Parts: sequence; C-alpha cells; structure tokens
Amino acid sequence: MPDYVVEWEVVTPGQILSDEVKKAGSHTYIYGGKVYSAVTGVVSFRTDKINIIPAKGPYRPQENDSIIGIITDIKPNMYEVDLGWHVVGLIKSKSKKGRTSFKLNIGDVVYTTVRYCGIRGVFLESGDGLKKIEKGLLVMINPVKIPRLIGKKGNMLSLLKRETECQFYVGRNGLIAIIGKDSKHEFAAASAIKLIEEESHIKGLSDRVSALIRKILFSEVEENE
Amino acid sequence: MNETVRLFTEDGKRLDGRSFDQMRKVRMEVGVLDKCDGSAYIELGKTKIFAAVYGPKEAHPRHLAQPHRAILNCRYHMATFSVSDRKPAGMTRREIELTKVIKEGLETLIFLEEFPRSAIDVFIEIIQADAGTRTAGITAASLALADAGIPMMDLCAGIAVGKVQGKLVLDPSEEEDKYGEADMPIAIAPRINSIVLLQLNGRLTIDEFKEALSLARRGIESLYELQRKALKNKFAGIEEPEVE
Amino acid sequence: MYRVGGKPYPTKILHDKLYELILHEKRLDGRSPYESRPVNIHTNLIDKADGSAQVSMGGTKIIAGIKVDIGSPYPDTPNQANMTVNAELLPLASRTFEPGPPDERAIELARVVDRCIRESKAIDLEKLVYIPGQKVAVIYIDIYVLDYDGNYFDPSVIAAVAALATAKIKKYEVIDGILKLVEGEYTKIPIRRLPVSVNLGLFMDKIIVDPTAIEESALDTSLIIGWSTEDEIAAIQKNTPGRLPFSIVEEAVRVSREVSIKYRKRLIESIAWQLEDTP
Repeated sequence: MPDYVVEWEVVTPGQILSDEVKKAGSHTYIYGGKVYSAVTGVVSFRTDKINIIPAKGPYRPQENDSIIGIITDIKPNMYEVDLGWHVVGLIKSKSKKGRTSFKLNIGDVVYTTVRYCGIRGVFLESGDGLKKIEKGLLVMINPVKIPRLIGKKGNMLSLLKRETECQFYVGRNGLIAIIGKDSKHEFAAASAIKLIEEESHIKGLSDRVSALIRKILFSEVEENE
Repeated sequence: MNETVRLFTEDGKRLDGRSFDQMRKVRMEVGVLDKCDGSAYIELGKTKIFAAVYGPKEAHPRHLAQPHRAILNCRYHMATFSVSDRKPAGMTRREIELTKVIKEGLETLIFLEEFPRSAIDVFIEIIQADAGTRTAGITAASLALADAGIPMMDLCAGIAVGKVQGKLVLDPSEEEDKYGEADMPIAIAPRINSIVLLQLNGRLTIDEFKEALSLARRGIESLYELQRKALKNKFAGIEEPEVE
Repeated sequence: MYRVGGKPYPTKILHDKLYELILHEKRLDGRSPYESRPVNIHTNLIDKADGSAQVSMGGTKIIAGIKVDIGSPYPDTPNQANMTVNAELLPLASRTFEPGPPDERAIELARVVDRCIRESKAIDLEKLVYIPGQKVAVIYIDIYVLDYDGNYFDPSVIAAVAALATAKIKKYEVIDGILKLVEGEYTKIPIRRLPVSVNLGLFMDKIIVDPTAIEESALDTSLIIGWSTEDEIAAIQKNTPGRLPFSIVEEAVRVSREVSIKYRKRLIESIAWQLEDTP
C-alpha cells in the first residue's frame, strides 16, 4: 500500500498520490482505483488522508466561513452579495427571526458568515452575525493565503494587530477590511498583508512583516524630526 | 504537387537539422501575466503563445449559467501580425473551429461541477505562428489553468505529427506542414491515458496512423515533464505552511 | 475530494442505460452497436443548382447543393480551382438550432466536410483551370441540415460527394486567351475518388456507429474519421468533449473502416459512379 509522495512535496495536477482510495483528501480525486492530485500544491498528511494545499486557487464557500462581501443588488426579500470569484451570496432581508436590523444599500460592505451553501445557492447570516463595515480599507488576496494571514493559533493576525493598532475583519473569500486610526496605519497593514500573500513560503516571515510595518510607520516621523 | 521542394537533406535529416522524432526547442513559463488568475507562455521554435485564465467568475450573460457546473469560455486567437500576410482582424472560421476543439479538450479535464453557475475564461493568443499553434496553445492553456489553481484531472500537452514526402515527422515546421501530405495535431493527458484533442488533415494509411500516434505519445511525454517542471519552478520554495 | 465524470442526473441514467444495452449488443432503435442507419440518396433534385443531393439517414436529413462560378485562383495555388464549403444548421432541423450566422458547430461541420473532400483529393482541381493564374472554376458546396437526429457529419459528406459526382457544369473554352461559354453544352466535375466519413460515439470502453440525437446527448465522447479510400484516412476530428482512451483508437479505426466501405458502396450504387467516366 505505498504512497507515492512525501509530506511537503510539491505536486502537479494528475500526479499519482496513493493506491489507497481511503486516503483521498482535499483537492484530490479517485480514478481507476488510485488517488491523484487535482491541483498544484504541497502534500499534507492529516487525519490519515492525503490532502493537497493548493498554491493558488478560487474560493469555494463552506458553511461557517466568515466572509466579507459587497451588496450588488436588492430584491424584494433578498440582498445579493458579491463575494468575489464566482460566488454570489444571499441575505434574506426578512427572515423568521425578524428583519435585518439595519437597511443595506448597493455598494455597502458587509461582514457575515455562510449559513448554507449548496444547490440552492449561498445563504449568509442575516441576524446578529451580520455587520456593516462603514469605514476602513478593503484589500483582496488569494483565498488560499488566508490561513497564512491568520497564522498558527492566530499568531500572524495578532502580530498585525499589535504592530499596526488596526482592527481586522478577515473574510475567507480573500477580502480583508482594515480599520485603523488613520490612513497611514491602514496602509502599513495593507502592505504587510501583500507581503504575506507574496512571501508566505519564505522563512522568517514574521520578522519581515514587523520590519516592513515599522519602516512605513516610523520613516516619515524620522524625516520630520 | 510541388515535387521540386526538398524537405530532407541527403543524410535523412530535416531541413532545420532535426531528426524525424525530434521536436523544436520548447520553452515554457508559468505566471507571466499579472492581472489574470493564471497564465502561461510557450515557445515552440518560432511559435509564441500567451495563455490566460480568469475565474471561476460570475457567468455572463446570466442565462448562460448552468446550475450544476461551470461553463468554459475559450478563445483561440491569432494576432494580425502573427503570420506572413496580415490576418484580418476578428475571428476567422479556422479560429472558431480551433477554439471549439481546444475548448472541448480542456473541458474534458476540468472539474467543472465544482463551480456551479460560474464561468471560467481561457484566452489563447498566438503572437507568432510558425506551425503547431493549436497544440502549443492547448499546452499553454492547461498550464495557465493549473496556475490559476483550477482543479483538473491532469495537465495536457499537444504536438503535431506530419507526413512529409512519405515519412512521418514529429512537430512539422511551417515548410513541412505546407508541402507535406498530412498533419495530425493531437493532445494527450498522459496520466489518465486519454486523448483530449485529435484532428487529421491529410492522408495516412492505418499503419501510418498507428505509428503517428506512438510518435506523438513519445513527444508529449517529454512536453509533459517540461510542463510539470515549469509549474514546480513557479511554486518552488513552498515550505511548511503555517496553518492556523 | 473531487468527483470524476459528474453528469446531470437524467443524463446519467440515460448514459448508464445505453451502456447496459450496448453490452448486450443492442441500441434504443434496435440497431447493433456497429450498425449504421440505412442511407437514402437522391441526386439532382434542384434544377437551378449545378449539382444537388438529398441524403437521409434515419431521422437526419441533409441537402447539399453545388454552384460553380468562374473566378481567379488563390495566389499560392495558381494551377488549382477553388473550392469552398459552407454549412448551416437550419432552425427547422432541431429546437437547439437557432437562426443567425453559422455557429461553431456549423463551422466545424463545414470544415470537416471540406477536409474530407480536399485532403482526399477527391476533385481533380487542376482540370478545372481555364487560364492558369487567372481564370479557374470556383466550386461552392453548400450544406443544409434539414432535420437532425444525430450525426449530421456522415450524410453531409455523402450528400456533398454525391452532388459533386452528379453535377453538370457549364462548359467553357479558351479562344485566343479569352474565356468563352459553350452554349448548351455541359461537362462533369472530375472526381478522382469518393471520400466518406464515419461518426463514432463512445460509451466508456464501447464504440457505437452513427449515433442518434439521444445517444449524442449522453455519450462520453465522439470522433469522426474520414476515409478517402478503403485503406487511407483523410481526416479525423474529435468533436465533443470527453476522454478518448488510447486503447480504443485502433478499434475505432477498424470499425469505421468497415462502415466506410458500406457507405461508399451505397454511394456508388445510387449515383452510378464509374471511375472510367473521369480518367
């Protein structure tokens, strides 16, 4: 029962992973009784399965995902929310639990969670979990990089919060809202997020992120002095 | 028709010095364009092709969207300056046909059911054409799809086999294509052992056809390795990811 | 984990049922897998055209017409007559065909028919040159799909070839370098050989010949093989998405060869074609 790959190996679509069908994990498929990779990414063995962590890829909604979206259309009892990529989420404006506590307009940015996703569409939380984002900076990165942005046990995100003194709303769909005390702090945070997206695979990321933020935040101050 | 044209040298080599089973110099690169979700560039001899992928994104117009799968939009297009005489702008009938066969070839490999109601766009732009554009085009397109992270069964690579003055040759050049008797473009997904694109213009006997298939197969195996190398190069250095 | 070969549910049932039938050497219309539908050929039914043919295979009906004009040759082939093939999927033929300019399916049909005829060198194009480099015949082959019940490729090629072989075109002569029409006299288009194409459908590892519309909606992939003679392939087109396993290709060639011989025999019978006519 051999596996053809080792942990952290880079694989490409169509590469054989294992002879054991049971081991088919995320981003793999079974063909002719064997397990193959469907994407380019790295191998990760978890819960006895072979999973591929894609290097890049589209957002695929899952229930309980926190997301950030933009209202694109208002129907009689429904708001349509663009989640980027191909996904259109729906917020019921009148649900059994009562109507949404505030009015939404086209172009509004909302932070909420996915309640259901399936053949009927993607339905989003419309009750207390729905939050309208009134100000701040919106940045978009590839959704597969979101786990890196959050980091192990939320390490990276706490680092960002600590260094930039900004508030973050992180959507699994790749959108991130940054609310800081001024635009300079928000810009520093956005630059740091871009750095994480581009260099997440190179070691010593945390140090470089702190260095970048400090450079942006304090360089101007030094010049003034 | 044109019996006076010589396409082989005295020692049996082809005019550009290749042996019958040798393809032109190939170069592939992944992630060459910035704004699209996935891209690739391929050079096969003088043939130069860009491929770009957008999506999955919302299907437009909306009535084209399928509730159970993504639709694949594809365009194979040659730049007006890519051929010796200026090609008229817009899509010619040839381009429309090639778009169809390339689209169907790629559609075979992508897990379209994963992205209901959405569309995936593939654009193949030939900036210089020197024979073998449709096969190099599908090779680049499959790389661009893999770069975009769109789940697919396998990469596919394509190459043409020609029959020139009675001999089968791999990857015919423009001259060989023009004066040859047959041209068979073929694209294969090697790991799932399937042909995804197959055409033939010209006459081959049954035995020649079988031989042409195995000749193409050998060429495609080496192209496939180059594809994988190009992808791995792009994503090289990925180390232990820090997962929350 | 991704699922391989997902199909919408009704199609999946149909696919599995058809495959089951094929395993028992049967098909929905009672044919065996390698059996094509009977071919009916009528020629010269349009008087105004130089040549015409209507071909039906089961519920698929094709009409092809030939018009021949005088024109100048392409610069790269000064010693050859021109030939263009055009095809249209008429809205009469199916609810999936819509009026408007030819779509990609119609263009593919035209180009496959073109390839079968051109690559097999069926027409002796050199013989239709009147003044080399200046005046040559221009052959227009127009194909209309009148009724569609699957496989519009095979009857289209048969119709085009039958129309070409039975066409009567105006006779011209060159007097002092000037082209003159010979009133009241007609000549034939010189035909060297009779190409035919065979449309094959694939269900998993099984081949069927000449699929109907229902079979086309469910099959895994399909393939058209054009034969210029009994032993020579002139054109191939894989015309639907889907995997074509390597292992099945040789079988496909063998099956299509047998069917092509049958088609050509039927074609020769109905147009009373003889090689001697056109040396």
